[in-house]
Amino acid sequence: MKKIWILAVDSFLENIWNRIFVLVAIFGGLLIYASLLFGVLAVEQELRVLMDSGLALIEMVTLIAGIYFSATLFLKEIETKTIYLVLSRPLSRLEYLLGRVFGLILSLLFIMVSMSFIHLILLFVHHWSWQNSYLWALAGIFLKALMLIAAAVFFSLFSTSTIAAIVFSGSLWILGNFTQEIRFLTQKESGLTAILSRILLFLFPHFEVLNWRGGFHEAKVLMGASYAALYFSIFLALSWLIFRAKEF
Amino acid sequence: MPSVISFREATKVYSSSHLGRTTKKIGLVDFSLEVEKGEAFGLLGLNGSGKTTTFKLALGLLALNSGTVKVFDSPPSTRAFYSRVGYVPELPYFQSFLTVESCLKFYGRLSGLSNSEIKTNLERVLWETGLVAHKEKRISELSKGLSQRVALAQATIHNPDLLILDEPMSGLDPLAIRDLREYLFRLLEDGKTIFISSHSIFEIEKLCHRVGVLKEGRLIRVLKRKDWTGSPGGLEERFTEIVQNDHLTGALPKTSPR
Repeated sequence: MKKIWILAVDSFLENIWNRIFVLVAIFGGLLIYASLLFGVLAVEQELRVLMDSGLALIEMVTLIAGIYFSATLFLKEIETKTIYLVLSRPLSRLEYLLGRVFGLILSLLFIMVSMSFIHLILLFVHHWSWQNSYLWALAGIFLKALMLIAAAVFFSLFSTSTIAAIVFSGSLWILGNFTQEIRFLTQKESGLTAILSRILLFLFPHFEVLNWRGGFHEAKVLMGASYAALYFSIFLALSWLIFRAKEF
Repeated sequence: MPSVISFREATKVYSSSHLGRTTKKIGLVDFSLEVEKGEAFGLLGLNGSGKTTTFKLALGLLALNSGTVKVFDSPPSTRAFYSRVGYVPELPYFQSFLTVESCLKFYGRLSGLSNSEIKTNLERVLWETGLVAHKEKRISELSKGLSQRVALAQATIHNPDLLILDEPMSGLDPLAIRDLREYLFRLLEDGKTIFISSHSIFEIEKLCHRVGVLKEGRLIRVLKRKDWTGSPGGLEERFTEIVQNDHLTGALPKTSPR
């Protein structure tokens, strides 16, 4: 456990140091500022537009950062040979995998907290009063990010290029937002196409169960969190199966 | 002398598939070698002859297709094994945001050292590798020679019994090479075993007790120090002669790999 933590902190600090990370934070800040302008344009619904656009931008930046960091994580370590220096130490490959993934999670939490801080300042300036639903919305975004990084890490382990891993993970993100539409289409299919479509649908992340902007509903939250935890665990387990036999 | 590293008829073939077509490339073929405790064993060979493959197999980073490899009498995969080995890959990279000290602490912690052990060992390796004056510098500020010293320091911070060094002199200036050589001699005096590769035959000649010549994945000759000390032209001449007179080309082993 200690070595997992050492690796997680190392990944987190490297991401903090990484200029791309700083750029993402600035990008998030600028976009939230833009949402303020949308709010000015929608005078009657200013707070609502500010709230919705801000949360949507936080989600977008978090998920893009999550995909990028996950897809580049191992490929970069292999390219720079850092992985040899770590794997030639007394630690298991599972510890290594978990350490790097938890480092990513810490990084994404940091991004989310930073952007939410900027967003909340903007909201309070516009006389918004605190609602717990804000935290639930963030929790939903965080769980979506967990699902996506687990899938992106899995793709990165058998991709030979960063671009391929980003394209796979990005496609999963897009499809994960349209599962209801895809389900509707599969119902119109029949035969082998229908079976294949249903299998694919099962593999796509169903992000709609994590849209918690409406606030806390026990059953919805419990079901969504369990689903995200299961999805994350399955992809992480698959990643470990590949990683433990991988040659470097 | 007991063996520290033991390869028995080890064969490694790399396979890669592209658009349904599988390509095979020889890494090592029927490679047998014993590296004894306390000796410096050098691997010499042209580019792509299998030196790095040999090291990666000894470290458990690659799997054999056939044959066996044992280090400290067991397959190179246990925690006990990794506690006793230090590795310097060719042209290693360290995270640029770390200072020399924090970088070495990181690798010390990963090696399972306690805080007090890290403190003691850190002082030792900083002094031994001449990094005391540079310990607060960031990795990004270091010259190639200093980075190579950091590479050696991370490999020795946990006081391993075996050092595997892949081209440690690559890109170093003459003074840095001299310092590195002296450091390696001190390690040998302490009873460490060194398994090293280098394109600098001159350095291998000075340091190693025995040298293995690799060509296209095959170990074509093992030379003892006496084989080159008395011969005109020294090790360089012997190496050139052996490589040029070997006409066997690398071929995939007849037995199908596992």
